[in-house]
Amino acid sequence: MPLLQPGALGGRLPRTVEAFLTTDIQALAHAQGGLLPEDEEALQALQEEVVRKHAPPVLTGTQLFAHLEACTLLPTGCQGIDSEMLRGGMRGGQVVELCGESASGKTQLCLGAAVQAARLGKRVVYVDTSNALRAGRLRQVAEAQAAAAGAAEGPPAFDPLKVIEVRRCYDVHALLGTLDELMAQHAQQRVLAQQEQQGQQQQWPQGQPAEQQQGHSPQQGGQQQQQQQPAEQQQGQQQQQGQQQQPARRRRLEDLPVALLVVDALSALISPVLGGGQHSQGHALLAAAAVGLKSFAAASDAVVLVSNHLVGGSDERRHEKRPAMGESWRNQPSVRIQLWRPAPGEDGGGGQPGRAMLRASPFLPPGLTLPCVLGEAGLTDPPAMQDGAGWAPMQQ
Amino acid sequence: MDPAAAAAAAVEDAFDAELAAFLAPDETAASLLARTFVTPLRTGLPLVDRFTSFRGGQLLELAGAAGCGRTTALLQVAVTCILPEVAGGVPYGGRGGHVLFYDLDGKLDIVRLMEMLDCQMNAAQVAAGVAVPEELPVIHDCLTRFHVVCCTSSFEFLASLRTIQPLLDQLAASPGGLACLLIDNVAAFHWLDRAARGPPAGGGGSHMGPPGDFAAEGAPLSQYRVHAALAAQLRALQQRYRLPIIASKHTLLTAGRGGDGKQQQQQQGGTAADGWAHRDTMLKPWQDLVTHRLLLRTEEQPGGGSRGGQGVGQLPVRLARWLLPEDPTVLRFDVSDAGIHLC
Repeated sequence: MPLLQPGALGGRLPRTVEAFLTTDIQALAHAQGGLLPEDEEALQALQEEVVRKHAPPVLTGTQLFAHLEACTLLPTGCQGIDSEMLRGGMRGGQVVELCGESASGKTQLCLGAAVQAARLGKRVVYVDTSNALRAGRLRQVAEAQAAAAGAAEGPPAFDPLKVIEVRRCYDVHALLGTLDELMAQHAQQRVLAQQEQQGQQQQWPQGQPAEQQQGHSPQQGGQQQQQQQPAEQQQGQQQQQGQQQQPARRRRLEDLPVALLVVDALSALISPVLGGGQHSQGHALLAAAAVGLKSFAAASDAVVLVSNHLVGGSDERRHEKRPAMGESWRNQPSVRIQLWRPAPGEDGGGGQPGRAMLRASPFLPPGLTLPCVLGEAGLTDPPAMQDGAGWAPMQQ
Repeated sequence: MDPAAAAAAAVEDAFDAELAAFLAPDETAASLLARTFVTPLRTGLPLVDRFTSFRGGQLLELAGAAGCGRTTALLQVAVTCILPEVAGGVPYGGRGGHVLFYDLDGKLDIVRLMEMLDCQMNAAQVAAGVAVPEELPVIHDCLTRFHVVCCTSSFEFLASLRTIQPLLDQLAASPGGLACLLIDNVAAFHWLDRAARGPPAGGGGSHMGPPGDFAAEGAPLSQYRVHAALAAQLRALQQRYRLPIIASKHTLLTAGRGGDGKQQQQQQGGTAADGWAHRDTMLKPWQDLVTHRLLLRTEEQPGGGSRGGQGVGQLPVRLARWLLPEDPTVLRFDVSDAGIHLC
């Protein structure tokens, strides 16, 4: 917030960017009978500051489309949900909400999706708010998914659980802090990526990042020798070296971009501060969390998967059970999927499978319902579907 | 006598001439019309085009709860504006103009826009008798005319509005011109702005001017200041470009839920009128700017609240009603791949 000297208008001129943005300059000038040249300069400086630092970029549809082509889709572990409801999977930048009663499979779907992403080598941040995540179960899901992938994949190259980062947050402020931290990490990653790019372009001049010099001090001698070698060879070797450096530099988990952020039971954090209708601070916290999740998703191209409880539905009110956190939240996620736990069968065996229903989506009308079952690998398709047998989505 | 009479006659003549000049029409009706007539924007939304004419310099607010089709409506307007009038001999019926879309909700999906473009184009090409419909080149041409700004706070929104003028000048001068400005959810930052407090007491020290002298201080972006600045900026843009503005608004405070005084009113009044009760979350400066307001809502189908057996509620009915200009007719609409249509 740059502070300018008070102008000749006796301090009536805006001196901060916030004040500048909320002041009608023309009306001010009219009221003062014109502006002095130094005032004009000061306003011009503020305007340039806004252009340079604060104004968000304008993107054309073409740029958005190019971005769309570059983004990756993450599977949920349930093929029916992926292909029918999400058109291929969860897309980076989206906020996907799972809602359902307890034991309807929300956490299981979260676990399955986390392991799926981790098996692709993506970093997952799993925010656990209600102690629903157990390491044993996560291991079981990972093993079951590896077994389901079968021998075609061969032995796993790495342990997927190593890229799943679990954070426990027990209040909204902790979540907001986590989001801030992830945003800061993302900014840091971008700076590093830029430096790397520049470094490659400049063929490692003197201005190497300090971290690289520290990390590769044993190679310094070799590098100096290389510089005496012919230019082409040097270039080739440096490219090799660059490739070798990739895994070495990417050893820390914080350096990997987050591909999936799971917040299991966001409502467990938000619901306690909402309600009463007496104060707006709870809503402000909800809005801050929502904006934080969405802007993190948009900035880092990560998928944000959030689970939510159901409330209401008592007998005297004819309302259906609805997702918690109210109208202020209902608008926020781009996709909402509701889950139902399997109904017990009359004959005692099996019964109906659980169901997933699309509640909101940017493309599809709500109401699409698919069967799904809880298994060792998380929430998956019913066996008949996995065998490739014919099935039809229940469209009401 | 003679010179005096001549002088009197001259005065009279001059007076007559002045009178004639005074009485002469300033301009003819034709020139007035030519000067002031603004062709209505064809929005492509049947909800708007059939019931009113919406012109440059006006602001249409689409109010509704979540899931009512607000974003779809805005995208449909965008599609109509960026579609070419005629391309490759096929009449698409668009306007071929540029559109600026403010995405405050972060929910714009370019896939949805392309899908709607694709639907419209396919229909137009089939109607024109094109043997093998081929939409992709035209879609990419259309996408170049769609401009998006994503904002994550009121501060960014205001910063963008303050600095957007060079781009808008450029777009207005381009062949298609600037068709309209769309804002997805003006109420997106309602709670955050409401939570912003006044300046800290005594924090400014010697810089503190007289009370109320916010312009000079680092006053935080309180809700009133944001809305006032927003309205002033949009009004300036409207005056400069004769720009039609369409803004969607998420109605946070629905009647009967979350409202403090509203609940009693619901108990007293019938339930039928309550669905259309509109409680504005935006403040006076914004309300003054709104010239048209269309309220969208969804209603559970009567008798469809069954959650036994299937446990699946029936699909809700989508309804719309004009609040400004007031019109008691309730319109039913539906949303398909191509967008909103009346039913």
